[in-house]
Amino acid sequence: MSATPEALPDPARPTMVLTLYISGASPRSSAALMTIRRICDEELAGRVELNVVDIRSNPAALVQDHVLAVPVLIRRWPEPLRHIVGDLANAERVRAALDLAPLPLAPESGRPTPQR
Amino acid sequence: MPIHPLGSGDAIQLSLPGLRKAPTGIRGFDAISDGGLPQGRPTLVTGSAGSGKTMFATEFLVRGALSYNEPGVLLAFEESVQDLAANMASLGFDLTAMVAARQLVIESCRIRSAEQVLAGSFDLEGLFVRLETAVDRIGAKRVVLDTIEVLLASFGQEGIVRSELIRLFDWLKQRGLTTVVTGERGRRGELTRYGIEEYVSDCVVVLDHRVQDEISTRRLRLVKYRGSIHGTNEYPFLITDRGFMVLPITSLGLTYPASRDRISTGIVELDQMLSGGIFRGSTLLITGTSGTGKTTVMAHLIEAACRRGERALLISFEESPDQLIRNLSSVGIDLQAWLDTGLLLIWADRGSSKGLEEHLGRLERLLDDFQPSLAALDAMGNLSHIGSEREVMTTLVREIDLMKRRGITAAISALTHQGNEEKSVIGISSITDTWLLLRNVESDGERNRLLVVIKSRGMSHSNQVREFCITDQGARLLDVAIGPDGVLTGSARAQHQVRLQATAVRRQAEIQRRRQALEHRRAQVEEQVAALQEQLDGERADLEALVLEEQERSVSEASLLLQAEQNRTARQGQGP
Repeated sequence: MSATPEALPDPARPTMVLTLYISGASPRSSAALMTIRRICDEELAGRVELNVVDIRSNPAALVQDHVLAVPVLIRRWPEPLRHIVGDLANAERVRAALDLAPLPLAPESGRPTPQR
Repeated sequence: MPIHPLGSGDAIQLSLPGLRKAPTGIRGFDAISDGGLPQGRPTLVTGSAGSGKTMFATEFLVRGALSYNEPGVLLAFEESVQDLAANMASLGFDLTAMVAARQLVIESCRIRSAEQVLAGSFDLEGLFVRLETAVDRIGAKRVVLDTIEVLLASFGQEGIVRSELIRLFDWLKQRGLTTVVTGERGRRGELTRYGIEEYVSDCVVVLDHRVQDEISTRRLRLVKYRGSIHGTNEYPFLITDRGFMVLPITSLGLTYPASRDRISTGIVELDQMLSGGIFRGSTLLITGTSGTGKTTVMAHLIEAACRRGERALLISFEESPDQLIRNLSSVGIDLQAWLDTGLLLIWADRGSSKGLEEHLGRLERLLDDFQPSLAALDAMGNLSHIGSEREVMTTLVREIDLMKRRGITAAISALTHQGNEEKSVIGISSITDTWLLLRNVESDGERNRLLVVIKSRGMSHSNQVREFCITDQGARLLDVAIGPDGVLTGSARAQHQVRLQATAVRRQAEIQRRRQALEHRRAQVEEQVAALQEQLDGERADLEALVLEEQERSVSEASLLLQAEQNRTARQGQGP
């Protein structure tokens, strides 16, 4: 499936700007990182800018971005600003927050599966 | 625990050994909490919206940094840094400057729920990192989390937040950070909405803001303080332009020094009744019904203080300064002159314009700023319409205490009602040292004033009722006149005196009369004596004449006998 056409007002600019705050190599942070990497690679390839920040390396950024809970994925663009808190295990919520189309239910597991 | 002799003062030693206190620097609070908050441990400050939690917490940080060299970190979960700085500026604290001076770090930790989506499991490591960074940046010793409770509702995952809070408080204790956590009271009276008190078990402070009879009062209570002695009352507090102020009812220890120095009341006869005046720093209560001269007695005290070159503060709830000056000049007391010298300050304040606590707070400020040696409150009855009788009493007790602790001689007048003059001030009479009762007596179509010393601690005093006269030269006390119906005053007294004089004149006349009568009688008796004497003398003369006559007769008889004998002898010689 392709991205929605109206998301491309300026071809030079990425469709989406994301920042993921992680806490070292904690299981939650790793899970979140894997999930968002997969989404970026598979569905937003070439149209997304993803920054991954370790909270201990840049505390000042935490203040600016009002980060308390980690991991947290911040969608800076397109507006509105969104904070997607948690390890991103709830794929539906992640997709909704990123304005991606919902996944069809996989019949055998009842869980959403990535669409190719 | 060592037992301390009464009045040894320093109550800090009464708390468990090892429990160290971090003084808050909040006026009054350290006194009731026996030295401050538990050092290195969290304290919960809870109250309803607008009860002053944030102010309390922020002042704790500000004072810590300014007075105790303990920098602090404030994490604001509800307010923006700008709002916070603006609010605190109204209390006279310049947070921005303190941040610049690295005395404070203030961070807003507001959660914008609208922007937030929960998509899995998380922890609060971000908060931890931010707090740790801030603490390390300025070497903070104090932390305020205001109101961290909102986190419990912000993520929709209460379980995770709860376990994170436990971790947070463990970390704070481990780092030895003295922490104030604010909480909001639940709708049904729970200490906090989300039960945050279970993580903060050492010390809980409850703030309350209620409006009673249209007058707002703020109260503070130490619900719990593990291992420490603390006052358990509800203490009124104020949010003034100099910050928070808790008003202890009385000092925990009755440790004020008692002066032996006597000062004049300004009324010579009253000084005599009190065997030389009242003690410096003592509390004088003047009660009486309307128009008995309470204000005049006060004015004499004030004038006497000013004459000694001491500063005096007159707080009037009844009259404006102008009116007071005019009325008292009619009895020969020139307050204006003392105002001009700067020794006298008059603060006229209709009690009702402020709550009782507000009133108390302003009094304390005045005492601090003006530093009077004598303060007169005229008249406390006027406070009664801004609070219940009990509230007025406790306020007065506190006011007396404020003055006692500063060694200020206090004079308080109280309006009482005919018939229960002594009963209506029962609440404060016990904490006053000298009590003068002024009374109107009505008889023979006139009202006159009486003054009696009901009590005066530590000095001999007259038990006599005196007539209290207000002349254009000030107040005077007259010696008692006691008639058959008790003490006489006014024209009854004058009549009594006239009667006494008339009686005296009558007695004098009687004496005179008797003296004359006696004199008269004496003259009579003397005349009688003279007459008798005369009579006696006559009788004696008669007797003597008789005796003489008798003698003469016997002599002639003898010579006749002798003649006869001679004749007989001659005849015998011629015969035979």
